[in-house]
Amino acid sequence: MTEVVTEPNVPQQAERRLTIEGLCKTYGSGSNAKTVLDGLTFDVNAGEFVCIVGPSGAGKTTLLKCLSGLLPPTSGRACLDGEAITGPPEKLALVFQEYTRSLMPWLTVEKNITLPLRNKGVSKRERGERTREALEAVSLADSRRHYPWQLSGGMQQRVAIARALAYQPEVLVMDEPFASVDAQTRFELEDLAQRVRAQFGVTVVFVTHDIDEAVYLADRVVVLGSSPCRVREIIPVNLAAPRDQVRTKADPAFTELRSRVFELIRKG
Amino acid sequence: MAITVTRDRMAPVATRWTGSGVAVGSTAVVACLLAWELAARGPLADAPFPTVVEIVRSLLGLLATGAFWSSLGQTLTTALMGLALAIGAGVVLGVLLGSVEFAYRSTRLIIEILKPIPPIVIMPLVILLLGPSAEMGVVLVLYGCVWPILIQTVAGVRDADPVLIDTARSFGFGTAQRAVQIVLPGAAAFIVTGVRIAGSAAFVIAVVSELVGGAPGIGHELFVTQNAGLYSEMYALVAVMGGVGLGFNTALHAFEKWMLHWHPSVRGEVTA
Repeated sequence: MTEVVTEPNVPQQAERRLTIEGLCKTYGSGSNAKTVLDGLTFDVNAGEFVCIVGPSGAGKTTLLKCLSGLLPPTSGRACLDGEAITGPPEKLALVFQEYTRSLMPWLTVEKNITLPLRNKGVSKRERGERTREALEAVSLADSRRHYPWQLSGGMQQRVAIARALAYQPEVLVMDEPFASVDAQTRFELEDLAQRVRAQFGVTVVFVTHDIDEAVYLADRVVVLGSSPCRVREIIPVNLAAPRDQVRTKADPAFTELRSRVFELIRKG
Repeated sequence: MAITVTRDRMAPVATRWTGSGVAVGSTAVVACLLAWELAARGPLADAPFPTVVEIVRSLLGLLATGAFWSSLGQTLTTALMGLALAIGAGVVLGVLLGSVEFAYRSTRLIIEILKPIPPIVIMPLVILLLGPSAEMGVVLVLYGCVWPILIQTVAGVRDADPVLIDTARSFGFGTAQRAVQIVLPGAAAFIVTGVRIAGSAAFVIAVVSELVGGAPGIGHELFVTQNAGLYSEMYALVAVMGGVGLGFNTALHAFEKWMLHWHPSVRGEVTA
């Protein structure tokens, strides 16, 4: 058991799922070089729900792309279960903000979900079972034969979540997934995210610019500072589980936490 | 009564347009035929202009012969085979050129130079190689049709949504899987437009290859009737070509609708 110096709040016995060590990303070179990520270091434990917040343009999306193996870091590394991420790992699934663009409009809901499984070589029977389970988890069992564009925005994002769940990842990475839906739908989807985390035992890395959302959902909030992006602070959120849109948000501890995150972000 | 009028006004615009469009179009066709008939009987009676009645009689005569049907079949085969080869070549090359930046840049100028050359210009060369055969016609159709399909495919591939590509990559899709399952369907709207442009040219090029190049088919029949001075047969063949061209375009339109049923331009459905 090693001593954790940087994050005394993390339970010592927890299993590390993701480790990000001194992650740097620089675009361009020479005098045009622009450093977007500047030595980010944090961990995500197995089964944990970690929200990443930061000022807009801080490089959150770049961080996620490095985490998910879509973009190689300039230096430092991201590891999943101790192995450096060099390409999209099979144990990780992504949900993007732009549901209209991340779902294939020429495929039905069901086929959108099964296509990655087919490519992965999952048997037809198991594909069917996983799809059914995932669609039930997001309450869309009746929409499997519809096309994504026949569904509302919130439903489309639920399809994207179901697709990620059916992939059975250990880590679910979500990039501002609820930023493009209306407020009411957003609350529903936040609670859905909590339910599937509990039901599937999945580790969640959730990027958002919404402070309330971050505090409401997270076990820990990683606050980023901007230009270049560094980890400002990692704040543990010890609110009672399961969270509740009314009760949790009325909790003085919630208000205090969101003020703290807000102050940190305002300072940049 | 007022209610009826309002309802009538609220009827879907598209339906009313199509309805009256067909009526107006047919009336115009009848008017033209009538004008032709009058001209052919009156002022142009001495010119080689058969009357509409004569043409229709020749047409009915033609339709009864097996030779006519086999040349029409030959022409359609040439057009469709050339088009199919052009689709195959255009799409495969288009995906390659669209996804490899170096290939795109190095071929762009060549394509821009070759594209405006009409198939008839390369006909002597093709005749030299293949003779006045059906294969020659197929090659000309292929040449004439491949450019719009290739150019549209390249444009469609380059237009692929980066979010969708990242999504596919994150789910571990390989390069070939992304090309076939993501990029190609995503480019379908572009490609189908290219096919529609190419398709309307395919039949015309096939006829020209027969008319000028001597390949067997309905175009060759046209050449023969013209030389023999069988004008009513000749115009009957022209009428057949017009009808087939119309049928070709209608089929291509239906094909487009079928292929792109999911596409915003076709589905005409507003999401909630």
